Amino acid sequence: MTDLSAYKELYLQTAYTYLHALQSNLRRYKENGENSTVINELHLSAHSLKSQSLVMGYMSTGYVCKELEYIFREIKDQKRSLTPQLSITMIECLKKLNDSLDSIKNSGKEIDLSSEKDVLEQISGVRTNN
Amino acid sequence: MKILLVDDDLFFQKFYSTKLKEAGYEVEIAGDGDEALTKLTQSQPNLMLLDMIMPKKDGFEVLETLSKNPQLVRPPIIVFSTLGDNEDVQKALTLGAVDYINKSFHDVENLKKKISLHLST
Repeated sequence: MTDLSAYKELYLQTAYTYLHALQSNLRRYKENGENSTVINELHLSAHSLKSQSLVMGYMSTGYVCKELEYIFREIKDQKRSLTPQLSITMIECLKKLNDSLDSIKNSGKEIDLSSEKDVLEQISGVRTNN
Repeated sequence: MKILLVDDDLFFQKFYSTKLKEAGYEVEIAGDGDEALTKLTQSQPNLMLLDMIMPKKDGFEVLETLSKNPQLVRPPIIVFSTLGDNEDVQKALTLGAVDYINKSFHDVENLKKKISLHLST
């Protein structure tokens, strides 16, 4: 088993970067409308934050990102639109993701994001096993 | 033995390059698909670890470029996958990847075994 504690600082550094990219790009998308570059960046950031979080064992954080990744992929593939309501839901999820990163930074433990995961699963229709 | 690690994510660049170097491999890093194709020709690695979701040219486009250009150097390619990417893995294997490693549930020993297997074939 790999000792991941040595990678915690690097994880946090890059995770916050991805989270801030998600927040700013979501704002841009909301303010300026459809933009393929922005949606690509949203998808990529969610994907990367998901992967890192799951590798580090922050499963609750990773699963929320997986749902976000899936929804952004659907928007990217034009199978779904980013409605104002969906935007609001995602912004709230990103706030909770920020809380989780803060908790990891301060205590080494993520927070429980199962409620946020459930909300996103209802939107995406894709269940993630816990 | 030289491994080309293709991943845009700084975390995974650091994580996997450290682990592979500890295992005795020489590691070169490419941050996107275009850089990967350039380094394949320049440094001719023995194996490539390829992430699929990247900016600019992604992993699928790298595999497609290699399959359409048989004159290009093509080492064994192991793709990285993460949770929920089963379709992407199947597509990558169809495009010529020889194996995959699940990034989500990290297993460095499994990665080393797969690398060893494909370097010996």
